[in-house]
Amino acid sequence: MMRLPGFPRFLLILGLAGFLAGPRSLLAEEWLIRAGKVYTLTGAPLAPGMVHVKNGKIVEVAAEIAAPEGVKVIDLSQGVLIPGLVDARSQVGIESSVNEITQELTPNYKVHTAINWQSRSFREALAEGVTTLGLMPGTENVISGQLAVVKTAGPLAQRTLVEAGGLVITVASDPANRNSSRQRPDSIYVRQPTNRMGVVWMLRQTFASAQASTNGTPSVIHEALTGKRTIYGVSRIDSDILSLLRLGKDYQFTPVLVEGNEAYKVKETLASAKVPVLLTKVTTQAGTATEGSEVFWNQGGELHDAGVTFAFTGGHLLDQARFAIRFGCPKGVALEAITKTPARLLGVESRVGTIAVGQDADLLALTGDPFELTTGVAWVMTQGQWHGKK
Amino acid sequence: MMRRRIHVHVLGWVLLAGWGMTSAPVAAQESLALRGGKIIPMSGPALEEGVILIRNGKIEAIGKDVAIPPDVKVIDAKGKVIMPGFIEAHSSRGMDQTNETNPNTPFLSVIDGIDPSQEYFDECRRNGVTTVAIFPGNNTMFGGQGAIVKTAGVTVNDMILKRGAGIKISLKPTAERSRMSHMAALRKELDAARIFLEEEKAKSSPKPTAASSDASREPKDDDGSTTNGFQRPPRGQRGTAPRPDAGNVDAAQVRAALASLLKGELLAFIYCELAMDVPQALRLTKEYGLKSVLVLDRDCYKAAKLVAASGLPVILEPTLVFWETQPQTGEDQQIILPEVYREHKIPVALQVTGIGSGNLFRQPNLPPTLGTNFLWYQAATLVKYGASEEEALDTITRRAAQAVGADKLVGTLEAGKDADLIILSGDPLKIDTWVEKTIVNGQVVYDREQDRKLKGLLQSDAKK
Repeated sequence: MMRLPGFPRFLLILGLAGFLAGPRSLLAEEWLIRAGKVYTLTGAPLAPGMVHVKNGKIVEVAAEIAAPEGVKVIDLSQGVLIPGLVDARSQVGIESSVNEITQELTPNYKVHTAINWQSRSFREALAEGVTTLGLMPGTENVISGQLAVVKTAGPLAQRTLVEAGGLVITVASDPANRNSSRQRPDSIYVRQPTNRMGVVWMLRQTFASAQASTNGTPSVIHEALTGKRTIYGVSRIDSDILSLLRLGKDYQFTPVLVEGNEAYKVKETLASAKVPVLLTKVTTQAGTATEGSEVFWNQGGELHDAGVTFAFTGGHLLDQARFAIRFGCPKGVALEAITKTPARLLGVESRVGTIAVGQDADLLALTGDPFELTTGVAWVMTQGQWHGKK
Repeated sequence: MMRRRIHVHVLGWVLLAGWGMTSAPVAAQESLALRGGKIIPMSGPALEEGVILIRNGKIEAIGKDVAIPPDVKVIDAKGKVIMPGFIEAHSSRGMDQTNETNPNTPFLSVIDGIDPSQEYFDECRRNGVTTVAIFPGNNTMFGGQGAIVKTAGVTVNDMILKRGAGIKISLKPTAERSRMSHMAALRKELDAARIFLEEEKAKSSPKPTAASSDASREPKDDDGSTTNGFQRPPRGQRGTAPRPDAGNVDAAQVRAALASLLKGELLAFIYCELAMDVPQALRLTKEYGLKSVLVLDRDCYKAAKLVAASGLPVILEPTLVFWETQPQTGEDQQIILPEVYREHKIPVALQVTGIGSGNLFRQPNLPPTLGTNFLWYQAATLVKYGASEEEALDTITRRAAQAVGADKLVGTLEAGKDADLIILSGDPLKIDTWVEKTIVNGQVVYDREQDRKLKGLLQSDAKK
């Protein structure tokens, strides 16, 4: 089952022993990894390349590194090393509902408080090479709460990168049409708004009153409007995306567009407003998707050509990048869109997203060319902790 | 909420339909030659710079030194790769409805339900699939007779390769039935057909051999228990499924269809939902002398040993990799079916999921699918989990043809076989390789340059 060229089995046992001994010894693991190719995402790839990991951090990256005494060497042979993947918009591990059905505005809700750290979905994400997740609340609230940025594995104390981050808002029909309170006509929770106009009006009212507020206590909304928190706006169809951009213009914030199924239709506007996109999952089906948005396969290629920054989100990141390449996205851009770019859009680029000195030792080892569907995951590392198949 | 811009799709539909008609094979057959390029025949080593000569829908000659007659239209495939069209070994798509409400309809034929204008066939041609074994869905007992069809045609008659390819038998109980009563009902029907067959035999030959009638009239399980004494419980009783159309079904029709199954004229495509269904399928195969093909759902990997020992052809469900949690220990496990089946040396054939399952008007909001709706993606997944590229390609061509009993006509590029082939822009299974042309029965039925739908998906200014 395990494909691990030149990796002796006893090291695996050591890794397991380290796990049992607790986090401290884990992070003390020192590794030297040699790969046929290392995509550092900070410059041209090294081929071959070596990465030195110590105390959970990357301490050296070079074409050739002499092995220090006592260090464990992993030789990937022709395998390829890339940064651990970053899925910037995910609901992995969030326990029960991601939506609050009794209120429209819940800016103080924190996804972090709803995480089930033992959830299998974390291990599923890890097996696909994802090491960092941006966890966002659902879309049925006008303002749904604050995102968290976490690792998919590791000791609990070290899994949180951002506990209460950017504010997630929805500029779409979900708060009007899909909120769970409407599934039952006798619900005591039936609430506003009931249409798109209401969604936008509620946002405007909230933003305006936060701006007008003079009582001195800095609210979450106020922080978002003064650039202390990023606003992540979920919109899919072109008109909603434009509504979000108008809100940004009127209340002086630059949102990160989330989902953006029809971003390709307003790419020039997005580029000039410098609004980046956390794209909805790449699909290989045609037709229409959520809210009747028109499916378009080459968002990656066209957004890039227009000068829009974007990341792929929502699982199967390697395959998403591969299909995006097939559909017209340049290879380098697609790789950035699952590592460096999402790390930046989550504000954690100083810790993850590239293979560089000082970064967390979050690495993804592949059996070959990252851009081919026939390439598999050999193993994953989070903060110097090795995860492979037994 | 209503879909926006539905008119765009209506227009697209019309265009598609029009396109389908112009590209469908017509009665007048012409000759065609493919010249240059790498030919992967799947029946032997690859051929560089070869020639394939096609006449009357068949491959007339293939080789390096095949002379091209002057009257033949030539397609230059220099720098391209030519290989047999892909074959989907089992699909319940392309029909107006997947399942019948009545679970006992072995006499029905999918031919009567196939709609050649469905999106599914368009997707097939676009992705290099030239032959599909279409079978009724799995929510049934005896679901009807499948057919092997080509993926291009104006009417279903243009498409048929083999009319009665087999009968779909599902071991998953229908409606509220238990597995016990489902299996008993299934055996009861097979027994009735066996008795019918014996009586027919007795009528036609005045002196029946004592041995044959004995053995078949008293079928016994491996453990010796009699299985044909089952009495159907009264209608409406707890645990029995209501059978809405039962009154309209002619028992003689059922018997006649199942008799063909028992005679081996039709294959038995047995769907196993759970691993526990696999031994049942093998028992039915043995006791009734069926020629079986196993259509296995994900859980059946647990019975891989049994499957391997049976030597029966296997068709896997589209989900090849998934996770399970052991209920006792809470331990998570990633199950990689290609690895499991290879460890047990079981050759598998594949099927896919995707948009083709319905039409756009009925299923406007499709769950996102990434790749698993393409047969070539599934083959690449096999390679990802350790298969050689050659084996993976064999899986979706030659082996699939063998599994469904169509290998005399399709699956490889050899003189005398149907001219079903694809021209690829590069090596198969590579991320930037596209199907450039799909040829079915010697007719070009898909040309990427003319594919307006694909262009619309890849270039936003082409949509307008």
